[in-house]
Amino acid sequence: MKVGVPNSFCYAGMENFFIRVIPEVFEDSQVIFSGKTTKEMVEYGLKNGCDELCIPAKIFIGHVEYLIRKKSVDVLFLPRLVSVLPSTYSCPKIIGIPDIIRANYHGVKLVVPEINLRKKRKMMSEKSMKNEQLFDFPMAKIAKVKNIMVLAHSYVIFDEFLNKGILETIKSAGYNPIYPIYYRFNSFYISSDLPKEFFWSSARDIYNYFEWAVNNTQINGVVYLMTFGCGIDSVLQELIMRKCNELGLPYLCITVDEHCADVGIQTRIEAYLDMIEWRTSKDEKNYLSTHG
Amino acid sequence: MRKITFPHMGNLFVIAKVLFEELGFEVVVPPYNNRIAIEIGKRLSPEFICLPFKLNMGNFIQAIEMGADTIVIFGGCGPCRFGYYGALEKEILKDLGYDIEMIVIEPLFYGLRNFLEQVSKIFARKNIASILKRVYRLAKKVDGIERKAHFLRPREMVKGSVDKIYERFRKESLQVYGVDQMERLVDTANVLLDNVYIVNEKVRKIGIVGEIYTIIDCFSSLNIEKILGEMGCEVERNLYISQWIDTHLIYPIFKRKDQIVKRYSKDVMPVLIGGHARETISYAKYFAAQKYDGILHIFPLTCMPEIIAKSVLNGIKNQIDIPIMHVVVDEIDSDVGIKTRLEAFLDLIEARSEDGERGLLFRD
Repeated sequence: MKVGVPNSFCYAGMENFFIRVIPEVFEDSQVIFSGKTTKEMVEYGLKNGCDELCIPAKIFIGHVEYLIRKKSVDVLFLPRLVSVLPSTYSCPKIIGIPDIIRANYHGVKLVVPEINLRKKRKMMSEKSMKNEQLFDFPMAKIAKVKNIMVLAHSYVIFDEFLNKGILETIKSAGYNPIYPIYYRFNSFYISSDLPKEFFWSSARDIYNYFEWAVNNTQINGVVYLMTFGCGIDSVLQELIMRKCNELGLPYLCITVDEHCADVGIQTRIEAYLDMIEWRTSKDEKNYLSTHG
Repeated sequence: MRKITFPHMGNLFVIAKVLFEELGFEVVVPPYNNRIAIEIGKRLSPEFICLPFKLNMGNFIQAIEMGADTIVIFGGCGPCRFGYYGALEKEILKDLGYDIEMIVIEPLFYGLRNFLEQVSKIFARKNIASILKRVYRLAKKVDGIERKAHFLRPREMVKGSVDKIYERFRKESLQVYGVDQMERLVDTANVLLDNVYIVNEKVRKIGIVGEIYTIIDCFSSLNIEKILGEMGCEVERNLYISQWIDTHLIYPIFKRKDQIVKRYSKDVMPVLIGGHARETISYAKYFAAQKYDGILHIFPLTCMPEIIAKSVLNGIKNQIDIPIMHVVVDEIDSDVGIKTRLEAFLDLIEARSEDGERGLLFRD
């Protein structure tokens, strides 16, 4: 049996988990991943997704359609990620995305187990969940100086269509990009200065990383890569912006959607890095502001 | 003494006002949602936050200018953004330099102590139970008036007579004090509405589903109910304030569930995904089963759960076989655009029902 797994959006970085779990669920199965986002998938997604969906969710629909059309899978494995950290929720779109697929693609068999760590209730077998993390991303290496923090959801940072080569641009300008990844920080760091702890798993991860990095590393600037229509980002971005203003950190927010061109974003990042460069070099020479 | 204020949401102010008055506070009701409120909200809020947040900010600032010093709102534990409203609004008001206390009533998920601490700031009197009971009865009555208005608007003989009574009720409710006076006012409005002369016109029935704030609050839904009423349509909503109290505060105590939601969401959305997405889908299916003529789905731009609901409704539109119009509301200025769209929608319904076979053309 061919079991299809789209690996974008909320299932990005879960490859190892799926390889481990799927043989337990299905006998005699063959796991098929949709792979990296291609132009074809983006087009499928834009055509079939509802207008208001955020762009990662649209691309996700493209991945699903690609699996159905090109790979002719027998069954789609879409766990419902209600919560991936204790006492949090995922974004409503992530929780509801299997329902969208079920409503829009009739005739495809879906297997939707529920992963809910909110109240320590696990619907999948204990063995496969125990002591294993769900997400598996390469960690960012932190340099001594010249770090630029790129904040975004992991599925944005690691999707080549969505990140618009931002990490490469930063690297080629001589800076070291660092970024948060899901499910890494909560084990030893809980943020304290928030008015209220976030109830979204991803927001908690991102904010914890932000706070940890601000306190423990040398950061020259913060870039927030926001996807258009993302509900979590709209709140999180505001709080991070306020905090950056308070700390005097250079801050840049970029909103990406399906219409944005790589080059425009690269130019903005380069200009931003130039500003940081200029600012640090002036700071050293007792600079007097031209504003008087 | 505290001067309490709270955000607007449709006729919520009627109930909230008398509740706080009975508890012995001075109440500042912010001006009805208006253009100024939205302008203030737009300026102070995050860019991509949903419309209710912007209106809340506008209400708060206007109320503070009128002398309020305490804000009471509900919190939440997600996954919808509403749960973070209180915390974010607190931050924004603090940064603006307003010296104001915010009482955010969080659900029990965040601990009983926190809950009691916040609630005890408001409920200091002893006869809470009887006050709550009376206020609840009032809430039912106020929603009854709204329901009656929905029924009468397309049928009234002298056009505009219902709205005259309704608006007068809303205006006068700001001047009365306490549950008893408010109840008398509600009864008067009821009697007046009962005496509206009605004619038996051909009335179409439209079901409204969607995000709670935008369907309850007539300003943010661009007066859609009124416009539809004038166009000869009876409107039925899936949510009223008293119904919200029922399903969210009273049912959980008795471990009861909304039967319609339970029945109609089984195969499309088995679990809760936050907000009212599940209610939206199940009531859309329910209205279709009740042979309504059309469904309006109203939600604010970037509302996370309702976008899922819209996508699912798109997917099952062949199954429920009823025209659905999605209205996304944001900081829109005029209701001309919405009027045109509603006219087109009603034309479609008309064409569909008149000549059965040809109507098929319009279905997809």
